[in-house]
Amino acid sequence: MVLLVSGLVAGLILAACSTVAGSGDIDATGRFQGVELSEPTPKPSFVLTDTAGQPYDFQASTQGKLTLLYFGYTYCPDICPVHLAQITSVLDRNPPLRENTEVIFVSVDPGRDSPEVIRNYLDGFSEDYIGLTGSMDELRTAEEALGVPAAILGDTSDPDYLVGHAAQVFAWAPDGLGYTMYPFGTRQSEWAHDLEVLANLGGER
Amino acid sequence: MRSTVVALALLIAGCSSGSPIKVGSAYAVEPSGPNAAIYLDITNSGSSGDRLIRVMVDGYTTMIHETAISADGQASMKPVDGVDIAANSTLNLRPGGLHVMIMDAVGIVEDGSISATFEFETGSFTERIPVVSLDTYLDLLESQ
Repeated sequence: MVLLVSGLVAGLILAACSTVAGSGDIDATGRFQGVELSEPTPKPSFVLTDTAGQPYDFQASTQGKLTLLYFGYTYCPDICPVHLAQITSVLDRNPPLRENTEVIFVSVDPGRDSPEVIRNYLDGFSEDYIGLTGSMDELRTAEEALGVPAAILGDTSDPDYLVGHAAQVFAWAPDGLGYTMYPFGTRQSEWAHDLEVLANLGGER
Repeated sequence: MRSTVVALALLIAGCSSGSPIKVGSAYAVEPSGPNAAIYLDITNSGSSGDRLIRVMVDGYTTMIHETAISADGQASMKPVDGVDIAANSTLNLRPGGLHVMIMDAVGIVEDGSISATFEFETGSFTERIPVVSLDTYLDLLESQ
């Protein structure tokens, strides 16, 4: 196990380095390691509220950037932190990539996740990450724009109620198109590979 | 370097003796939000089934939860009353499946350890388990 873990860490470092060097790979097929969408999909439009309490126009505010979006809630200890931790780990090793990437966490649990709670949560990963939430109706509009089922809140009279939510991360390249999505279980090495490839997909068209 | 140390700690934690029930590779992950999760493997080398009823951590409320991800990508957690471990089998409590959730886990800090009591139908025992950082957790996920 010791050797295994050390070997994996070494492997990850190698994988990260090779993607930096080999970012010119733009074959029409098989260029992504995440789940490829059947066709490139334009970035949707919706407005939610950011952690400063200001309206955040998703499409306009992320123009020209590699954009990652995830629905979750801060009470979720199991799969929610994994996506954010993986993305953070990749970006921390690649400052130029980080510079042109917008990471957006949408809390589907506005009852407990106030803007302050979301900000504190995200600051544990990066102060640059954008936290959004809204009324249940506004969240539903965003979920519909992304084609995911509406979040399901448990019995909110129980302070420890649970929330069902979309588990995948959505991504859009700087050209404004989504090519891939990332279900739970995506590996660190797959993130490292794909973020580099996506970041090189052009400016806004 | 840190993952090596944690891996060693996990190996040592797996070496309790006595009952046919063994808990191995147990660790808690430092909480990102209010709650933390414990993951572990349970091996039942006996000839009859057993059941994990609860995992207790002093000073905290805990629940066993099961995460399920539906075909359309919706993730949901539900509490479970206990988990059966068949004879001669190993049950893995892993991210995206079963886990023990520690509520309001302030004070569960990276690089510390916690004392967890595992209560089975046939008896209970207490072990110290490490609290790993998110980075170490990612390394562990890659190795699974």
